[in-house]
Amino acid sequence: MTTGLVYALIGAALAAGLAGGGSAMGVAIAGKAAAGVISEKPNLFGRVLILQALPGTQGIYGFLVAILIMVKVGMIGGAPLALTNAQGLGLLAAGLPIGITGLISGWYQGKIAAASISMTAKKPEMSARGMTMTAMVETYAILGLLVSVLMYIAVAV
Amino acid sequence: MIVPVKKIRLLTPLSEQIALVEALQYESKFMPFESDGALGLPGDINNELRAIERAIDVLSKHQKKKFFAFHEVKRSEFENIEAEGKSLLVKVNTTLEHIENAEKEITRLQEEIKTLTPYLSLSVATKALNELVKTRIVIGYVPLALYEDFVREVTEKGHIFEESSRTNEFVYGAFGYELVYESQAVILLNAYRFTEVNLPLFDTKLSELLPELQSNVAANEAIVKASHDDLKVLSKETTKLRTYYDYYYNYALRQLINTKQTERVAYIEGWVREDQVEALTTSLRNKVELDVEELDVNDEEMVPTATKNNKFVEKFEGITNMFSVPHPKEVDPNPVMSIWYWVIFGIMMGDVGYGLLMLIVFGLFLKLKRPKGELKNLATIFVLSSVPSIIFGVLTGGFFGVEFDLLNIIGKWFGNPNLTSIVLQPVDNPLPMLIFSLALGILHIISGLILKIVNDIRKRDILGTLSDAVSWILILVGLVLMVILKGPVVYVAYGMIGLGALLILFLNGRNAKGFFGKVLGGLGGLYNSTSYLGDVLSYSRLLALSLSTAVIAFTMNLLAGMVMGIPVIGILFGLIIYLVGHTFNFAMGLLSAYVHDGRLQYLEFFGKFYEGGGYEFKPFSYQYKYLDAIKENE
Repeated sequence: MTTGLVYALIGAALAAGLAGGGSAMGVAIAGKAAAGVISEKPNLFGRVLILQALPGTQGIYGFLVAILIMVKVGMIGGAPLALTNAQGLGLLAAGLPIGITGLISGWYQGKIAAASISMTAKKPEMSARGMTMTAMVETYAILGLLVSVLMYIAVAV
Repeated sequence: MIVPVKKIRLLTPLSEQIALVEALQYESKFMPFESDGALGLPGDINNELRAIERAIDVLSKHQKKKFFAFHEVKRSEFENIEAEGKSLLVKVNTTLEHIENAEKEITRLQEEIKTLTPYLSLSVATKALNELVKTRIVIGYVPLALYEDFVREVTEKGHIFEESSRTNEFVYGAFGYELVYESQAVILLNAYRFTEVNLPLFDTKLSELLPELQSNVAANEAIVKASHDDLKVLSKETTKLRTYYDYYYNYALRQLINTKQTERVAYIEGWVREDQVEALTTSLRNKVELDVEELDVNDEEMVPTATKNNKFVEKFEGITNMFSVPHPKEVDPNPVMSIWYWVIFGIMMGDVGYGLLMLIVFGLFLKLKRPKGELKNLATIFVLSSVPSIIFGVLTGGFFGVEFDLLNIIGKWFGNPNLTSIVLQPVDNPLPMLIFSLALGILHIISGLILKIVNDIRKRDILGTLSDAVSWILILVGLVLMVILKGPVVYVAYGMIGLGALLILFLNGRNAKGFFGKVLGGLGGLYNSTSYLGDVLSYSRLLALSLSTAVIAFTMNLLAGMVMGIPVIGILFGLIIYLVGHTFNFAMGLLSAYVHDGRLQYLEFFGKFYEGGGYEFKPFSYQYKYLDAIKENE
């Protein structure tokens, strides 16, 4: 195993780890609000659950980039490649955008999801607007994912 | 298309008032004005509704739940349910009362048995104790620790104590004294912390009482059981009770209609779609004597928004209404929006397998469960969107994450292996897909700007349309042409961009005062280009979402494939990973597509032209809580 390969793996770890961590925080924040609402209004479970799931996407994006990197370097379904340091650092850099945006946007999306859940409790018919507001935060994670993927593709191994 | 709405007044003789309201509900083309002051349902109607609801709850507990339950009754049955429903409700309530009483009795008896148990070996009847003249017998218990001393003193003073039972803490029994020594006895009892217990009065001796009480409990338990059996029999009639609820609920709705009376006539005012006025009055006149007056709408009055679209567009109206109901004077965004929503949803799902899954799952759901209202529209949208999902799945070559080249397969049958239907490859070559996404975004935005032109022309705001819509269309089209065109023709593109920019520069500040205000307004207008840049870039989510659906599907296949390699259990685990993974990806894909497609419509598209702020034209009609459909009489 070359140092370059280790760099690439660190990139995958950061992508999955940071974005997943952000989503975990976000889903937990939203979950707290959701549990409160359900205790009073169990029939809103479906609507509230969708809102709670929204901050979960960042984790999926991070996971996706991590898998892409691992497949590229042959850690999944192949023999590990002997990467140069430059290639490895390139893939490390590719993991960072989704990792960082995923961490922060997942966390903050959780807060707005929690607010939307409280809104849904008072006005169930407004839950779709809450979803839209919550999805605004995710835009930046999507842009981060896009940059990550473009960088990942640009790094030739 | 937004249809004009007329304000009318329907007059009828007082005697036909009820018939008119019933006919209006049946026709469901008339939207009455709201009553002044939010009137709720009268208390007795509300109570009856609640009672029926409770009875239905109880009965449905005795019924096996069917997931695909579908309740349909004939119109004649629906209209004549009242007497039957009422008697059914009484039956259920009586049975429930029996259960309640018997259960209360059981708890009381059990409580009694519990109190009596320590004293059951005493051979006295409690009623007889009250009849003693010279002596008194007190029943109760003493702490075990003090018992020895207590007994000693009792014997010394010449009283009696008969023990009946004991526990680790107390000794239970009967204490007897002669009334002459009452004060002495009371002091003694207090000193040894004797607790007196008041037993219920019985004719029978305590020792013989237990079997009697137990048989009473058994009798009451039998009543409970029999009543539950009764309920089980009654539960076969639950549908009738459901019908009764919906009948009664619609009766209640009719009571809420704001009818006004003069000495001889009753009248109702409200809204009717212009194209339905004729039809409504003709069919009403068949049932009641009627006079119709058309009323003027003053400018401040807000008219409800009635839309009339084809069946496809109709399904997407809910998406717009979730954002805001269109204003009655603006152009209906639904026809254009529905097509974009449909296409974008397909791109975001973008997998033949998931598309088929949408078609099958939600198709079956609609067919078997027959949902109502919002849920029905949502499921229909999913079914409709399965078509573009499959098409984009073919174009991007994905079938549950496995590469799938439709045209190539067909080509091979006919001996031409060089064909391919894969046009875009979001995973292997994302740049063309990114360009496609942004181009689609530009088209989407331009279509929004065109709707803005329509709105402005309706308002006769030509300068506004030149500065806010035409200019940006010129700039956007110019930018696209600049990328596409080669050679000297490219100057046409430069010209368009320049013209657009000049329009903004000169017209955007038209309402500002003074020279500086106008200049600043113009420059500010140009600054909007950053928001347009953001809007266009926002469409990159099309790539990101189709990418994430494809890569996660691919990952699940990869993981399942790796596990499959393990002998014996591998296949099982592999299948589980495959099923769970794809279900998860499918659900998340649907959620993301629903949310982000909505966002693109609301912000990037509606942001360009849509005002909204209207309220829906909702005609007065039958509403069903429990029933799914009414079969009209032949």
